[in-house]
Amino acid sequence: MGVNLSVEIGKLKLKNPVLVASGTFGYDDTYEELIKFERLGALITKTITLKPRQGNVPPRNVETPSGMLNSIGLQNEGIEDFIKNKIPQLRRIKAPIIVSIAGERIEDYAELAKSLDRVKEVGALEINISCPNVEYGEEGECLFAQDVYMTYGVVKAVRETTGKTVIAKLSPNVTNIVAIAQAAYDAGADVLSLVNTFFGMAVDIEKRKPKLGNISGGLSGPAIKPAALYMVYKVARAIKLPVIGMGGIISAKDALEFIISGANAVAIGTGNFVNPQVYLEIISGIEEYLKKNKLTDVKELAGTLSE
Amino acid sequence: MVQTKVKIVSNLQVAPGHFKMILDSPEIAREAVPGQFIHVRVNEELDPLLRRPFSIHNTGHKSQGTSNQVEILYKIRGKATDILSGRKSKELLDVIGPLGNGFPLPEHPFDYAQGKQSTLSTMLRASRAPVTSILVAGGFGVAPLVFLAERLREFQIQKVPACWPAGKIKIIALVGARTKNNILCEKELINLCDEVKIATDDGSCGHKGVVTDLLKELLSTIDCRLSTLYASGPNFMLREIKGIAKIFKILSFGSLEENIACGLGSCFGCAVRTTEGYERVCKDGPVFNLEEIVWE
Repeated sequence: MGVNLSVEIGKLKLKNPVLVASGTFGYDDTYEELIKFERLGALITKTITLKPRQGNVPPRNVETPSGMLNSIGLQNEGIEDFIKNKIPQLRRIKAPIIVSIAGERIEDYAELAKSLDRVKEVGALEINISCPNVEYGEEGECLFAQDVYMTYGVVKAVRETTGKTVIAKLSPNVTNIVAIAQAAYDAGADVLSLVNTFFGMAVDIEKRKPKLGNISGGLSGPAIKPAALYMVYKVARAIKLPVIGMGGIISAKDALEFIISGANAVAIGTGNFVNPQVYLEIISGIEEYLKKNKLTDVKELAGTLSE
Repeated sequence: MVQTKVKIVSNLQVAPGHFKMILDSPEIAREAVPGQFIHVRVNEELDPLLRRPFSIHNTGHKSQGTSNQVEILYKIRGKATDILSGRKSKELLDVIGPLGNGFPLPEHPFDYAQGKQSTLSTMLRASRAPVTSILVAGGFGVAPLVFLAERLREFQIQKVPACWPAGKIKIIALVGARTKNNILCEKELINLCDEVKIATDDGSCGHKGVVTDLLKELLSTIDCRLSTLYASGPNFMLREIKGIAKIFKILSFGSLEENIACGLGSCFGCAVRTTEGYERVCKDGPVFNLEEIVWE
């Protein structure tokens, strides 16, 4: 007997709950040679901004124990290029496309959402308010996702501009993730995506210099999994929105931990760098687990943690 | 480009701390061009986590029945390469490749010095000097240059049309190492090149000093307009070569080194500043025209 892996994320129907996270699979057909896109739950694109961004000074990534730091700084060609040149490449990909967007001001997010609202290939928008490598707003010190009012403001502005599914991507660099999630919910988000990377740094002790050109960056990979899992658990319990859980997922077991803790879907990030085919293992691993546990639908598993 | 589990044919130490690994991968061997790399997961553990990129050192030879083979040459530099050096023959290794853009190879004599086609035929007729390919290797940076020398040699033998006087193409390799024991691939290069010159930091073999000393000396004796420089080694060496190439007005290509995460062009982590903005070493490189690189 087959099992049903399909899930609904807002208005998006996904054939399975395994997505690839923003920034780890490109925003065009980069992986086409390697990947069977039709097997993916969905592709979340690299973050797009209004204007092209050249990104941060290299070195931009450094490996740490079971993890990596990155300080890419959202290098991308901007929304105009994305719609003109990348969307036609993405059209060939047989997976739902979720476009990640980021801005420096609330108005930027609204403008991006407006431009993408017309593009039929775009299945949903993921609002990246949590990239640790860019400066937001006038002060530039705080992430939008670290402030309930700013989170509310950005999500609301996007919500009012688009009919597409709105996903808010939250930062783990907060004292109370549930309060931020609540603000996104109040502003009309359909789905929550968490977590983005943790602030981190690494030092070259011989040169007494940071290993990243940008000094600090975002930590990802298996090293952050327990912390990410805890935040997904807290948010999924408290907020009545579907959650896409992510943070260090690299095996079916990792994905199952997130789903059992309340995630409706999961996204693979750094794991794609380690093994671009890992999504296949994760999908089949989830399927096997369901069969073994005599479940017919992955939706029955979400949030079944017994406490 | 494929992701595949390939069998390790052999993994042997070739110099202190340096290893040569031979892999069995028909797909990669068939597709690979000099300057491309393979992205290797050294084991299935989570630390080290990321893959490591290795320049393709050579592919096998039909005449020896090894045309399915791909070679890498590496130095133990940390945990990942240490683990790699312990991998045994017949074990499987998870590899993606071939990746990136290789060294521009001459397709036709008149395309030889890329971008100089319009004047080259006139210059060739006027000049008595040979067209020279200069390979400059620093340390284990020699890895991709052996593969390149082989392809240049094939070109030299097979593709030069009759209208070209013999000896019109010359391949010269300049190899730099810390000390005599660390000189890599000397024998291979002697077989493939018209001339091989060595420099060691301690003077235990060849010129005492750095390989770029040899380069400056060489460039002052040849017609640089007809020549191309192919370099591979640490970034500080490439930076020096860029400066020399500018003075001598010689076309120069270098294989750059960076921390590479995805290896496929998706993460933009291995950025290098060029005259066109930040480009990706893994996807836009690893071979760049050195003129375009803006060193930070």
